Amino acid sequence: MMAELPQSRLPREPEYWEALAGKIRDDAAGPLAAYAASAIAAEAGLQQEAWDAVLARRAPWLVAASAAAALVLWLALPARVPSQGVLWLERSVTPTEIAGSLVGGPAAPSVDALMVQFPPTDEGRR
Amino acid sequence: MSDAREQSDEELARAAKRGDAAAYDALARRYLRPALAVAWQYTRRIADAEDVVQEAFHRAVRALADYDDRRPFSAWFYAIVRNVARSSIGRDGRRAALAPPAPLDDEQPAPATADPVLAGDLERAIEALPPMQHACIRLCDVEGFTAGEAAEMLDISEGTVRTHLHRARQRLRDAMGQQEGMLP
Repeated sequence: MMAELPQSRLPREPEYWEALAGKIRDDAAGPLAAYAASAIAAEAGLQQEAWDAVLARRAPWLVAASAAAALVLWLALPARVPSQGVLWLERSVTPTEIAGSLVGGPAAPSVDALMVQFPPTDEGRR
Repeated sequence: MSDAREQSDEELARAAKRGDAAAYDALARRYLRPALAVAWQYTRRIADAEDVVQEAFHRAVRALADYDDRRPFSAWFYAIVRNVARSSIGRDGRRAALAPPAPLDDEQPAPATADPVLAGDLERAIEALPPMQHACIRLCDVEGFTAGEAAEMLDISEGTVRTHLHRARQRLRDAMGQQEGMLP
């Protein structure tokens, strides 16, 4: 005589398992819908973040390019002609000394002498 | 999307976390029978085990956002099943298989045996096994799960399952008078 192991205690009918799976699926519908909604919201957030991230990643290059453009612009500008005041400063003479040399001199200064001392400038022409 | 049957538990769980109902359904179907087998080890009644399984899935889907899909889904899910089963037993004041064994109930099918007397003896011998030996022999030799699967279900190592199986089979052989071919 031989004894076999007992049969499984679990139901064998496919309908039983189908019904149980259906109950579990129905119960999960609410949470799964909430997960789907939050996943969509998170994805939208990620896209926004990606735009910011691209800008942040390129920020050093943008700063360098801006600096280079400013330098090129500055170099391309025409040389600035110093004004009379600057001339006075550069030659270390005061307006009083200049006036004194003109008024107190033995003879009136020639035009050439004035041209040497006070070269014409745009500002002067104005 | 690839066939759900080809996807791992973790891939399905990841998809379910994004709200994929089909992925969750596939995952639930994959775990229905093992979960019921584990729950039955505690409740010893199919109706109660079914309640445990439903409650476990109810909790699992709500906790899915916290599940770390780099870790095995099976261990995470079976832990929920065991917790729900223990709570259920505590609440109802019943005794679990993984505590002292409970008597057979009427809804259990009669064992398919060549000899009903021997079958009854064997059933009683299985019920008299220590809880973990009982659980291992039921899950592996009766329900057909592998030692590895039973280890995950019971949260013990595969080696421990094999040890319990060996001892359980030895006890059953002793109880049944060393009948050849009775047990695997």
